[in-house]
Amino acid sequence: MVTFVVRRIAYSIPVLLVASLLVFVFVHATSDPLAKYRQSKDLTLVAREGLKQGIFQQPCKITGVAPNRIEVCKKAPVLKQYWYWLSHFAQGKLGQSFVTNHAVSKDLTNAFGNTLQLIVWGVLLSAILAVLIGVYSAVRQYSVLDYLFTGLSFIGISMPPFWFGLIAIDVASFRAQKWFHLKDAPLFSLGLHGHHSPGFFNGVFDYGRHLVLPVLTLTIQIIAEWSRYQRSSMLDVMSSDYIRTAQAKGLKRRKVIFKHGLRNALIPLVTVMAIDIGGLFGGLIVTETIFSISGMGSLFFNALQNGDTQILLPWLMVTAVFIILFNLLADVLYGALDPRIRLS
Amino acid sequence: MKTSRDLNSETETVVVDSAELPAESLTIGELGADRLEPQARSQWQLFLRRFLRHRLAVTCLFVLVILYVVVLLSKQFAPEALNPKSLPLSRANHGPSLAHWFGTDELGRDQTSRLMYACRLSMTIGVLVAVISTALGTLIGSAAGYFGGWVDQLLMRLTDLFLIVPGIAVIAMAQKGLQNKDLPIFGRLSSSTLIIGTLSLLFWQPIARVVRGLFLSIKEKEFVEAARASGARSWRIMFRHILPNIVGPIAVNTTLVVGYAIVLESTLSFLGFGVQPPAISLGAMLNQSESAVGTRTAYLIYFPGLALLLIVLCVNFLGDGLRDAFDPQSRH
Repeated sequence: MVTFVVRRIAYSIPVLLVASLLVFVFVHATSDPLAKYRQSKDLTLVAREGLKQGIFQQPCKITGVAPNRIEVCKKAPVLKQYWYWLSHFAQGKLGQSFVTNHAVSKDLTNAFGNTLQLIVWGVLLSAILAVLIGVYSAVRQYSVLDYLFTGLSFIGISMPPFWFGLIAIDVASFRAQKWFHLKDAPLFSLGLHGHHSPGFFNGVFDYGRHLVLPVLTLTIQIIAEWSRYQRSSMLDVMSSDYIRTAQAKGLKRRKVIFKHGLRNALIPLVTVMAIDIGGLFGGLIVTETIFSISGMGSLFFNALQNGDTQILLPWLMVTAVFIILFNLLADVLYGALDPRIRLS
Repeated sequence: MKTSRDLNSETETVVVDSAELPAESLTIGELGADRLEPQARSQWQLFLRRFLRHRLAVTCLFVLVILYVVVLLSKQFAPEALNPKSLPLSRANHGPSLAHWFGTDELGRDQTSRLMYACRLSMTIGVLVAVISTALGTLIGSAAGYFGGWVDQLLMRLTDLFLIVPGIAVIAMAQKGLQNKDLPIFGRLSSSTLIIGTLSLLFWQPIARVVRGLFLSIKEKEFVEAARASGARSWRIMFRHILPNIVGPIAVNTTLVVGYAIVLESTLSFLGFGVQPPAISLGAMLNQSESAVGTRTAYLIYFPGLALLLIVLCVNFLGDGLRDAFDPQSRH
């Protein structure tokens, strides 16, 4: 197990490096990291920043007097620039955002906090919902509710999450307030914090009202997928011999379903979950943009909008590490939950 | 789990059409031997029978074809041009009515026409992305699966790369980086052509992986060995002997890619990294009317989204039907 984990991590390092190199080359080929400084009249600024970021090999030669100043800057080869970036990245020097002028590392840690709340609550909610729906649909196969859940899950899988978010805001935030003549919207559609009533319980309640819509938007698709998955794996398990044995020896139905059935039916779901959680980062871009949450997703969106190339690469690296870790977790969990599977 | 319907599909290959038999000849001795012969059905006929029995999928195919034909003829059918010369502001923000089924937007443009043009572009992008990525994926996947070696290594390593970064982030970066730029061979691409290209670069991979896996298992079969023994060249074995056997899974994946591509394109266009005006797709429509959320004109976000949902839902059901028809054992 330990060797498996170590080997997987060791293997993912070169993959990570190649990915970062490709992205670095692409970003530098398509955008000018010094664009912001070029807008100013002060050419020394361009020269200084370019040198600081490792874009220029040596200090620029500046000849002549303004306004006829000529700037001769020699660009470093791309691979050299990449090495410059990588060595600084490894030391934790991620540079500065062009737009906010904050340290990139600080922006990333701030964003990660908000994102983590979305992910943790989202995964909790979708796991509970998916298992409940899946088990019910499997145990009461072909019942009215089973058909209803099946239909809903097809819609959930086919629906673009961003549209669900827009509709949810429209209905749960605006329409509901008008229909029921409420003082403020029943569910909030902006940010994760702010407008918290005094008192602990009121605060928690308001926090929940902020969370519901973004969490649902982020997870609507995986709730649908996981519940289908749980249903089919539960159906498989419930038709197996040991379930018939358990029923035959007179165990209570509840015990058969939850202790003998569910525990085994959860194994495949858990691994799918671990993989999908890594994939949630893509969904964050949409969710956080719609709900104006300052997390990883909107950080990426804004950086891309504003040509803030300094943030893009560290963002991709953090995301990639997160995804790699969760994929690894999926494999480890699979082995831990099902002793028949050996990791090799 | 086999249902009785599945079993039927096996037994129904033997059909004696009793209606054709003349009543007086219904004695065993007089029955011609050829009349009891099982009617031969090709694989395609079997597939077609199974597919047609899948009511939902057939309905969805029907809906999609009708919808696509109608929107392809938007120039003829649409009440208004895509970019009308004059903007009748007097009828801006009118809700759905008989004159304007889906209302008008804040510039007074007829939403019915815009929806048609948007559906046309969205569906075309979905279909083209699926076709291009299937062609690419099948070529690369079959080479990787059949020859192994460096093609295989390259494919698998590339897959590893795309597994660790979110696809939407990569495509968004590619879109942002390549939009309004002169590309080496292609020159300056329109935003819709560009997104077809970038999406195809993402979606050929899952298909290549599927094809590779199927090739790996089929190339060990006896008939491949027989073909090789009789001196067939590699490309002939690959495309005449192996490929026809895996058309089913490829078609299913192609269908699913249509759905994924439409959703991803609309998401990117909604974020502003996809189709740019004056071209319009369903996602771009939603991008332009995002501010209508919670206002009187909220129908501006409902209709394009519903159209999107209808299309993707139909594509997914169609994929399901195809899967069941190609592989009756896999039904759950």
